[in-house]
Amino acid sequence: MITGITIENFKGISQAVRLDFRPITLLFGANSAGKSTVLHALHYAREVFERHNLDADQTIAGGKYIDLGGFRRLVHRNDDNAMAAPETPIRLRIDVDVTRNDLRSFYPDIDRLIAQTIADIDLYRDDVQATFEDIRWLQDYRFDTLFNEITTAAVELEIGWSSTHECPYIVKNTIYLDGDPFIQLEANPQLRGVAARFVFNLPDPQNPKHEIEVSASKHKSLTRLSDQARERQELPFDNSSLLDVLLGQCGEILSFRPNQIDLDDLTDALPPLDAALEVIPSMISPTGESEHDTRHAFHINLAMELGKALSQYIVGPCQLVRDQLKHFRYLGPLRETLPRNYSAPRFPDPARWASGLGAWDTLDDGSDELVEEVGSWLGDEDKLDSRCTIERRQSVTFDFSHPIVRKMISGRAFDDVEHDWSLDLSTTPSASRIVVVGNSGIELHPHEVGIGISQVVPVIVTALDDGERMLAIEQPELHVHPRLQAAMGDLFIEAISTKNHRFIIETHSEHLILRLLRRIRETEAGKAPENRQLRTDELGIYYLKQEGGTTRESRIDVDVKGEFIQPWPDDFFEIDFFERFPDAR
Amino acid sequence: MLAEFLLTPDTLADDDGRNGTDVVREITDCLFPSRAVPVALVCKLGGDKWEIAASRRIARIENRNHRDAAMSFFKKLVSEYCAIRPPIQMPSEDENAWFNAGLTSASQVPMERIVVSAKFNLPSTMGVSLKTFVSDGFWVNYENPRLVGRDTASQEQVLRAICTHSEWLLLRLPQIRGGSDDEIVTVKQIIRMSNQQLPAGFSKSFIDLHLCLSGNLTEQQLIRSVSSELSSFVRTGVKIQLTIWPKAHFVNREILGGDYTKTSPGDLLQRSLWYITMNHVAVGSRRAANAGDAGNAWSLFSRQKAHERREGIKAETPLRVEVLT
Repeated sequence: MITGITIENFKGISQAVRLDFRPITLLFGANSAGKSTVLHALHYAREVFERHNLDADQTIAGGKYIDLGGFRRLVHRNDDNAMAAPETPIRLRIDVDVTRNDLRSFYPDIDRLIAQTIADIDLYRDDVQATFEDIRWLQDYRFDTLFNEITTAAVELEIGWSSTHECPYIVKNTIYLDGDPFIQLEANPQLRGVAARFVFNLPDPQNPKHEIEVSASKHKSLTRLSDQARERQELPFDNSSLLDVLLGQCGEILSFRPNQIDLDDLTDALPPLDAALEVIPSMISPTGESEHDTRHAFHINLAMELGKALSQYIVGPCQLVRDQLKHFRYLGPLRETLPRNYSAPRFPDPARWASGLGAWDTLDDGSDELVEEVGSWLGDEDKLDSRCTIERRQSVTFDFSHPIVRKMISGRAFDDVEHDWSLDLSTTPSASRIVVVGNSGIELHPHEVGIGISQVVPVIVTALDDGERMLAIEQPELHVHPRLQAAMGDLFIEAISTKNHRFIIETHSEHLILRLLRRIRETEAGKAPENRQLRTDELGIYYLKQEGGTTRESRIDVDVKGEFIQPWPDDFFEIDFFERFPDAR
Repeated sequence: MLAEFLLTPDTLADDDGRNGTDVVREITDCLFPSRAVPVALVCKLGGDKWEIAASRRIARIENRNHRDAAMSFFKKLVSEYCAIRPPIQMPSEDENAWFNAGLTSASQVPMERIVVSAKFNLPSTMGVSLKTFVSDGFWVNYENPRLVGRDTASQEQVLRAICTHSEWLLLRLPQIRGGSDDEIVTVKQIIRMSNQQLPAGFSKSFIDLHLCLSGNLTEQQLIRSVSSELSSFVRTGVKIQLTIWPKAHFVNREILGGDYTKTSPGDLLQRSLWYITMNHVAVGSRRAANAGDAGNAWSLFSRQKAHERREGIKAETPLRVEVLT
């Protein structure tokens, strides 16, 4: 699960804006305050991690409905001179929860290392065996175990402009584990080679004067593991962490620079995410060894194994971010009504969700359970109670020349029907369609219903389809009656508990938030209906505003009484009051 | 300056024989003045009981425009400018019963006035009619900022509401040096008003007293001498914390107050509600008291300012924090 995002120098955001995502996160604020920018940052992040598309305009999840305009338009305040090379990089940090999705393991296999080395040199020698014994502890302390206790990871990318190549590139990639910076990859503008550094004297972005002194040996997860192993007296070292030893021993053998490994095959600081890092052979310093020298072969294999180990630190978190972003689905603010001649595309297109059409496609192609569930939410009195529901109608089509039709027309269709006769429709073309059924029983095609229903159905389908997705919805309340807006709060609550979805909702709806606050109050009092329980830590509220030329965020917490802990920054909840009493302003 | 009133439910639905919307507008002007910090705190006597009675009474207003205006006003009132008083036994729920309940509660812990509807026959000087309540002359006594005498008796009125309804108080007073006749005099007054003088049912306040080092006093000496001054309170169960800052870290006098609120995981969080600054506070010396209110303006700020100030203080790191035991 993506648990947070930090955005800097991106569109209207100059200084870092940090949002922690909860199961339901609401973004409030005036128009042009920067709410959509947060969602655009997620679109852009997905482009970067999934397709390495740093110069993104149209996106996977936004299609033609979101045009980011390319890298130079995305850099803060670069709009006025979109052709100029941006000087300050975009910074995006994505935080993920590692408790539910483990980092991919690329652990080194010492047995394979030995076997491969022997195969390489085709000769067994005592000195090689002795060298293996020096690092045999690696076999017992596989690197994947290092991450068993990691609960959070984050990837922070700085995306800048290469004047040499006239294109954007990932300048820096910093991996955080359990909140601490762990490793930083830095590329050069020539896009040749990347340095991976383990020395963490990164300046604190919140306080440039203060240097964070986090060394590899101080990293809490590694320290914890090393301490445990040391207590068991199983590690062949005393005062250093496992990583220190790894780098020390391997580094000495492979002639690394202190705490730095050069990854010459990479062009920028975001490595390919489907393979282990290639750290051979350029990192091996020339020692005059012959090609068939046993040590040389051993070094190559050791470097390969080290590359696998590093991959879990570097590639693993990036992969996890990418995979989580793939679960990002976006429902835009302007949902299209279905055209009269609508037919679902043969292959699903994630971008169609942006216009709401993806929801109709899913209904068209989805299970009967989904249709029933959506119909229930649309029509039931304890849900949206919109005075209508949806159902699926299935039909078969017969041509007039079909024998059955001809018999029916002639009135002799059943003349020769025998007792156990049945009509075989398996080869007959069939079709299904979704209809909207009103309270009076009248069936309408989706394109015939009121605009409100056509807007709310995509919201319901988005909330109920699939599971474990990050769902971004802009203005779910659009064209919807206040009573339904409030009931949407219940829809989102049920979706987080039964579908494990997470919502980021950009909204101006007072009714929606009032329902969520009411459910928190009722949950505390033990009076919330089933699947309507909401805890304070499941609701995140951010108020975004433009101030001094940049977007700033204020987090507003809620207590168990359903009241805001911090004062609401504007008169959002008092609009009606000030309309009635303008002199009180 | 902050003052506490009880408005009977009938008052909130009163049209005073005029256009009801106009009456609501007048109450609004008094309680939520434009471009000024509201100084009135309306008590929810018995908590939900008053709120339910008032909302029901408003819902029964026949005139649609009056009812809508009253609802809108009431929503803002309860969400921002109300404080809870413990329940009082009431034989009925008519206006007379609410008035008497208000009198009983005020006899336990003083409140400013009880506001009643036009039809109510005032039996007591504690009561004030709605007509008087909304008149300009009434509010002269509650101006903000206001001059306050540099003695505890003068301070009592302006401290009453905040001391009665805060669950925590943060006192930042720069002139406390461990003696018994400096600004510790005001600290003791506040502790008495916010703890010892409050009967059961009222919330006692946690006191966070911020002090600056001065002269040659060490942290330990300052803590020891102030602890000694406050030990009698601690022995009676008052929770006091000393927060020590470097010399001259702050020079302005400030009082912040608020309540505690809880999240689902059980975290207790401070919510800032009131923020007062002043030029001086009462000290022990007679000369200061004789100075009267000259140059001693006390200012009440908005809830937003209170929140920002609290966050600002939280962002700083003190030399030491000591909970008195």
